[in-house]
Amino acid sequence: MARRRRTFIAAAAFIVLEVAALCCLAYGSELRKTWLARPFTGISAALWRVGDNMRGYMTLDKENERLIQDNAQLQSRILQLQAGRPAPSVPYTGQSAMVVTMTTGSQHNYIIIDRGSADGISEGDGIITARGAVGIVQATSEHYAFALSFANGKVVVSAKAGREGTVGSLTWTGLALNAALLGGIPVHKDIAPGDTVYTSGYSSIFPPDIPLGIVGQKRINNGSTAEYKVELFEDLSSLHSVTVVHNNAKKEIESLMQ
Amino acid sequence: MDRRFSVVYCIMLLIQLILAKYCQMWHLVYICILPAMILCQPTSRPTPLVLFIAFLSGLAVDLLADGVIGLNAAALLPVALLQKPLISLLIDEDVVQRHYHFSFFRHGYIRIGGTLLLVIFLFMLTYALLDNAGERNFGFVMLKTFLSSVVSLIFCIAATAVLSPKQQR
Repeated sequence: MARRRRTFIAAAAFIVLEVAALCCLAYGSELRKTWLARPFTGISAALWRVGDNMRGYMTLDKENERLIQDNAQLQSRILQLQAGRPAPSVPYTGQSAMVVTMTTGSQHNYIIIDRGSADGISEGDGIITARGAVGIVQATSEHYAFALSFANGKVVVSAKAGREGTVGSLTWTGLALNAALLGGIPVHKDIAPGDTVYTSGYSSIFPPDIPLGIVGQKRINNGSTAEYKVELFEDLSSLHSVTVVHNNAKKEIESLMQ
Repeated sequence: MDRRFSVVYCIMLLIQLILAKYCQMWHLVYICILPAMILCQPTSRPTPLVLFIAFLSGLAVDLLADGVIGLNAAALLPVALLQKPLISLLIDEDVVQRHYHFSFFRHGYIRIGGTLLLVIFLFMLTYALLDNAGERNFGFVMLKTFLSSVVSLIFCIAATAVLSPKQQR
């Protein structure tokens, strides 16, 4: 009798805790914004800061090279604008941030940056570099923000490629950090291997025309849409300085969509 | 013994956090010693307590290193529930009946290694299924489960050797 009772209590405890864990899993993004989980973004950042700083110190040469390249790209953009091309009217504002910690080995990778709600960062802001869209802010604490990395099965970026700027959705393959798939492209639209993939600007998260990667092999899905392999420009394993972009017109756009 | 075990367990949890953060070499391999840490829980502890320890340990790794809240916790609970039945069935019934700790010295590498492999496989299968649900196909899940189980087994054997009480190693 006592043994049966013990078994019953164990089974009940298992069910209660398993349901709690599955609820955490299902509502993880909402949970992360609550007072209960929010401090863990800061604790995690503090915990891993030393290790990630050491990693950053080891790759300073590489980082310098990247910054030189970014600088060169910005210079050429300034020259283009000065040459009389009209400046695009984009409602985005950006601010620089440093990656405090991030993961790269999981299927659901994340990034924590050293900017939070006190710096004006809010949920849904995009994180970019000169070579790609690297994440979307999911939750913020006062001084830190937790973002889903592009190397996360849940992140989809609206992207365009080819002469006509055909729009599709770019997702991470889950196998290599620099590999993505551009899906949902109509079969009759031809995108040549070697074409550059850019952000489309159709979402309210990322500004348009950020180069993301190079188109590779084509594969047809169910005879209706094509899927292209994309080799990403950004090395997601060694991110240090990033830019957080905020769409100032986001609320207005979202209110129109509702 | 219980106090020594609790201290070593906390150190092991820190090692698991470091493994989860810095030692994920490939997206198809997840190195985890949590199943061994739960299997090694003293059999004198009631199952609900072991379940609660498993839940908290999994949640700590999720919140501080893994990033997906609830994933390790959900995958670890079946291991905690089956800890005593598996030890009784595959290692030695006396370990559960008389509340002493199993050890490689007394029960051999094959028996304990086999049990470890089974609990790691159970953990990894649950982990990979929940992690990739609706995103990757079943082949991917099985490949990840298999590779992660094989690699984690080596780390779990080491963790089990450390968690075993000294006089029984």
